Amino acid sequence: MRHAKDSLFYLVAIPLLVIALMAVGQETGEDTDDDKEVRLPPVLQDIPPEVFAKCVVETDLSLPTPAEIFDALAKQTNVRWRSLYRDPLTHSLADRSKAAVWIGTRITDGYLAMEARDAQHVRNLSKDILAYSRVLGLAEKTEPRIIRLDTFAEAQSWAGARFELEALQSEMSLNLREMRDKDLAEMMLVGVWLRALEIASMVVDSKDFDEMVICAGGIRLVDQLLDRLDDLSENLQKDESIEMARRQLGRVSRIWKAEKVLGGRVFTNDEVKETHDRVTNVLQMFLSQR
Amino acid sequence: MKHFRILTLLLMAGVLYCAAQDAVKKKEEATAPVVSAEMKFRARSCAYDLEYSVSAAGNFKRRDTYWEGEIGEIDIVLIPLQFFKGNDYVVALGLGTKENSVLMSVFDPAGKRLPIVADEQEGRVLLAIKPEVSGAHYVRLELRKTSSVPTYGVLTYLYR
Repeated sequence: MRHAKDSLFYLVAIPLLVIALMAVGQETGEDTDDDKEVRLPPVLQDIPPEVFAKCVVETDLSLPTPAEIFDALAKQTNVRWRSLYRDPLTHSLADRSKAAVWIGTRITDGYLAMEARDAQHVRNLSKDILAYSRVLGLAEKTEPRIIRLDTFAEAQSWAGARFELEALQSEMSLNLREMRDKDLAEMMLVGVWLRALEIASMVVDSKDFDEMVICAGGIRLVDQLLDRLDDLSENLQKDESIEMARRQLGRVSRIWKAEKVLGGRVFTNDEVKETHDRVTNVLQMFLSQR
Repeated sequence: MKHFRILTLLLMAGVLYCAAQDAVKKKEEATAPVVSAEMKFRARSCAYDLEYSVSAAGNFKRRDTYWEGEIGEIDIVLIPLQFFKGNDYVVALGLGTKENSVLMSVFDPAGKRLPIVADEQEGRVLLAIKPEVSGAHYVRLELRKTSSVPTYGVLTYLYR
């Protein structure tokens, strides 16, 4: 009887001991296994699409500043920046989303004035930005940055002025988001880029460029703008001008995507002109009195 | 025989206790933040220092925005950046750790790795790029095979 009891004990105890020892081994052994893991090969195409999408981090850094596109244009041709200036509005914009678009265009005009090294024009533009930021309720918060921007421009310190202008844009965008006006922040950004593309397509249109896609800021940039429009609130989505902007920019995106599909296709000035016309139409629609 | 049985039971209890403790420790390690505030501070100040020195030395223009985040053991980070042909770019990365545990590479819109001039020092990496085409380029960050400790990175770029 006693032997039977002992046998039963060991029959249960020994497998339990083995299981416990295996459990400890597994816990401590985890680290040794590591680098056989999914370390991906260095070439980007080899990343499976589902992994690729997971790894991509969209940040504010992914959207360039208009100054970068202007710099690239200036390296390919001699641009007469002052001839690209835009006159101030002759009517007032009471609609806040239109005012946001207008501020965006004036920010881009600021970069343009810096390319022309025109301190007086920078000062005129900052006055305009300040005036319209009152419509958005941002005048008080914007003023200190505007003063710094003017100071850099007066001192002809263009690198500092460019940095201040981008900081002004980021700060206004942040303030609008904090005031729960995300739509206005997006509209301002749309204004920045519509004006930049209008200028770029005007410059490319009149010259021979070996890389014409620059007039659309690269294929991805137009898609980023379309994404911003899609992110607007439902109310604004119903707006006729947003609908029209989506249609026009969608067409611009398709024009330049054809380059990717056809590979090395040479574009003519017709595509550049179409890009310019569509972008200008959208801007006019946004800034109309209606 | 009775003593031997007690001894076996004690041994089993000990092994089970160790296993449980180890499991709890692992769980705690997994939930604890890997990146400390100190690491974040170090990464940020490294990136700002790099940015200022490149801007001052090479007449490069700074961006007023950054990417920052953890660079982990398994996941890689791909940051899309819009570069334009004709411009020169410098991508600056500050790390939260002193050793240089991160491999940074840049790919053009077609996914081809770009030839780059790299300057790597203690916990900081600089890459100089001259894009051949305009469009979305990808900066790829991953831990080196020799390192398994996640770190924190702050990245920006300059252009001229």
